[in-house]
Amino acid sequence: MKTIPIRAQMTPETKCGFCTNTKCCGYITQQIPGPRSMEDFDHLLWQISHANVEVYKDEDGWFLLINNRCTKLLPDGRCGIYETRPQICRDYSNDWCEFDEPPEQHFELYFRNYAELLQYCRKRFKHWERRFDQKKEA
Amino acid sequence: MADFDLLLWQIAHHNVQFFKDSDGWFLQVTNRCTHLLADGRCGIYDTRPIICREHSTDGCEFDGMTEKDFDLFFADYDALLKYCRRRFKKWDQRFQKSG
Repeated sequence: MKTIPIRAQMTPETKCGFCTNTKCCGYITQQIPGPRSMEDFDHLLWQISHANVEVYKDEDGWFLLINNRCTKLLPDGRCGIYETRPQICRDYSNDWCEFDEPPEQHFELYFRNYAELLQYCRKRFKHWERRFDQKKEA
Repeated sequence: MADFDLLLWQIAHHNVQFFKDSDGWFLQVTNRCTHLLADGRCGIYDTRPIICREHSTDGCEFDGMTEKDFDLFFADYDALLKYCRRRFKKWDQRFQKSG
C-alpha cells in the first residue's frame, strides 16, 4: 500500500486551523501601574498568588496576564459571537501570533508564579524579609 | 464606546467580572488562591501579603456582597452588554461607522 503524503498549505486563512488550542483566546491582559515600593510588590504577590495569574513587563509597561479562556469559544475553536466580537479581536492579526512564537520572548520581565516574583523581590529589596516588622515599628 | 468594548473582551473570559465603587472601576478575577490548603487555611500564613493581613471578617464576603456594596456590578458579558446598550444609543452600530 502506498501512502500519499498530503501537505496542507498554511495560509493566513487556514493558519488558525493548525493552532490546536486557540492560544490567542486563552487569556486577557490588564495594564497596571509600574510597581516601585515594597508595598506595591507585596500587592502584586497577592495577585500572582491566584491560579492562572502571571505578571510581565514589556516596552509598554507592567501587565497582569490572566490565563482564563474566553467563554465565547466554541468546542471547535471558532468564536461564538463572531459577528459582534470586540474590536480587539477584530484588530488581531494572525500574521505573527502566539502560534509562531511565545509572546514572552518580548518580555523584559516575566513572573509565572508567586515563587518567581518572590525571588525577584528578595533580590530587589535588601530588607524584603523584614517588611512586616518595619510596618509594626512605624 | 471603545473603552466599554475592551471591557467586554475582558469580561468574555472565565472568572472575570467588573465593579465600580467609590474608589473607581475594578477588574475582578475570581480565580482561587494557590496557597489555600485543603482545609481552607492559608499555606503561607506567616508571610502572607499585607492585603490578607488587613482583611477583616467584619462585614466580609461571608456576609454576602450585595449590589448595595457597589455602584455598578457586572457578573458576566451579558450583564455588561445590556448596560452598554442602555448607555450608548448607537451601541449596536459601533462597527459600522466607516460604512
